[in-house]
Amino acid sequence: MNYFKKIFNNCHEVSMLSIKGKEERLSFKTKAEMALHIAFCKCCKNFVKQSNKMDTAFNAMSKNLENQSPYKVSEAFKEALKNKLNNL
Amino acid sequence: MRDLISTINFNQWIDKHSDYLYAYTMLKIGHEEDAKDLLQETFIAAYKNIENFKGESSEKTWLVSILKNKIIDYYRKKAKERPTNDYLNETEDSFDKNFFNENNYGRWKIDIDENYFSNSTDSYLQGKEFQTYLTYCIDKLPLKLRSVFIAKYIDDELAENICKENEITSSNYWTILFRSKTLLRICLEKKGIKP
Repeated sequence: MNYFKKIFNNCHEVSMLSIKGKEERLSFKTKAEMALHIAFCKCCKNFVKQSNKMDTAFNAMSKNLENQSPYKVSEAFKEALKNKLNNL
Repeated sequence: MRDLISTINFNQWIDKHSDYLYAYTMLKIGHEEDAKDLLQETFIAAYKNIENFKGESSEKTWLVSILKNKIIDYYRKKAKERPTNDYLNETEDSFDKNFFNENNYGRWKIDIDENYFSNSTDSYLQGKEFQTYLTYCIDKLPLKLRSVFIAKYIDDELAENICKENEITSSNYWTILFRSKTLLRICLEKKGIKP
């Protein structure tokens, strides 16, 4: 009974494994247990979904770093840097 | 002759690439002064080692590779002050207690089944609004998580290299990615993203 309680309630492990499983092969048993948990757990189902959505957003961020980033250096910083190099 | 060429090139390179290099560094370390120092060190190192630039790759790729090494050194210095493993152990309890109910086999402490961005379209996720929230939330991540997280999700580096560069075990690697995503999703929810 404890075995099933654990499978149905261990969100901590399942959500962690959902990330690990994207990069590493998990055993058949682990995958089956995860699938069973996720089928009944709307929270973990949502976590997996959101995790995938975040991946899409990260991808975009990585491609658009230059255009979308709020971080910029000032012209003064650039000029100071040029001077520094010229005087090396 | 060398002086003339490198001076011209470097002024152009600074104009062309410093915003990108700075944005990249800020994403990775989130500290303005340190990021500017690293940027400056990168250009100085490039200037001094210009003969190593073969022109096989673009100058941007070359500058990024120098910068990456500087950032790794920066993390290493920080890791000496507080090893990542210690950090993860010391913060484990509070992370677990915040998010999970360990008395109940590790269930989520608070139900997280609401549709915050679970059904968002790709174009929304890639768009300016969501990206701004995401930058804000990444900025809230502790540096210890951030270095690994960015290397994986923004730089798309291999797990093996990330573990080596950050001097962590693969089990720490999974813990860090998991904690980062858990923290990011709660931060994004708090921003009230619900299109």
